[in-house]
Amino acid sequence: MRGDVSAALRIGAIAGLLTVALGLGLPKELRWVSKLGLAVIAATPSSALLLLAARSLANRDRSTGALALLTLLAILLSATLSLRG
Amino acid sequence: MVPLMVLVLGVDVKVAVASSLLTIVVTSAFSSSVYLRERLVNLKAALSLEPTTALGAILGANITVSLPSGVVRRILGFGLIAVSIMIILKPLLRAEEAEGVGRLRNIHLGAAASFVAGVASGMLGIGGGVLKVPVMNLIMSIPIREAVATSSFMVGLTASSGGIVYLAKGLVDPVLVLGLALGVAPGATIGAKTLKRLKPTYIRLAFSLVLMYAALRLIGW
Repeated sequence: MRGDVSAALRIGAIAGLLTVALGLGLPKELRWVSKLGLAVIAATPSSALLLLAARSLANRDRSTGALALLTLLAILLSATLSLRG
Repeated sequence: MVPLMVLVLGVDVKVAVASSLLTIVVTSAFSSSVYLRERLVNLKAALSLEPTTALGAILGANITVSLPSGVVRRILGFGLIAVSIMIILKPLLRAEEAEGVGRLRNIHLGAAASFVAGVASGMLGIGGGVLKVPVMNLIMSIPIREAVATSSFMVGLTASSGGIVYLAKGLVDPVLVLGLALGVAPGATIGAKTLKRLKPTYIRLAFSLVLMYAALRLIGW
């Protein structure tokens, strides 16, 4: 379980950085690709948390799964509220 | 990273804070992936403290976004003074190397202190480990190695929570994030090799003096 989360973190960070680098090398009208890369980087920890929650619940570790989901919910709710405001 | 970007590169303080947070997400992803594999991260502690920390980071980021850059520079300056004092006091702020804890102690106090660490992280573009590690070690009696690894895992979640706010406001500079992320890896390797040859007391003193100087420059003294 920890190995999967660890791999997800590394893959997410590398994919995000590569997308940012790719976007910076593209013409101006395609610079949104680098912003997509930044979004991938920002979403990496939450994606890892989602994976952790799923794997914990699958392994019947309810407390870890519930805590991970609660953390994810807190991040998503407060981010959504602050972005709307 | 933020003082370097503001004082040396002349980057706007809000862009510097935003880009620093995204860079922290990258560095935390690499370091915590190692700590997770080595089973050093206390997931129960991290997941118990992170909801309030993330909330604090989002609040801190919103405060910074709404304030004028000049005010943010001064707040950053005073924040750096506090961090440099904490670095000097660090040896005194270490609990006895506790035996592994089964149950988490003082979780409510830890969550409240983590909220403050989250606000500082979101406002100033720092990871917040300088606050989280003493909180976990001193208040929650988590052994220091476990506290460092757990903090490293939490830092990524906290920085991404604050980073989302800055990203939505278009304040993150992709060139800075890429440059910093690529620079941190060799920098950390050189730093780790140099660290072995120097006394920790001298390193702490030199680092806190540099931070203090940057803080005074940011405040405008």
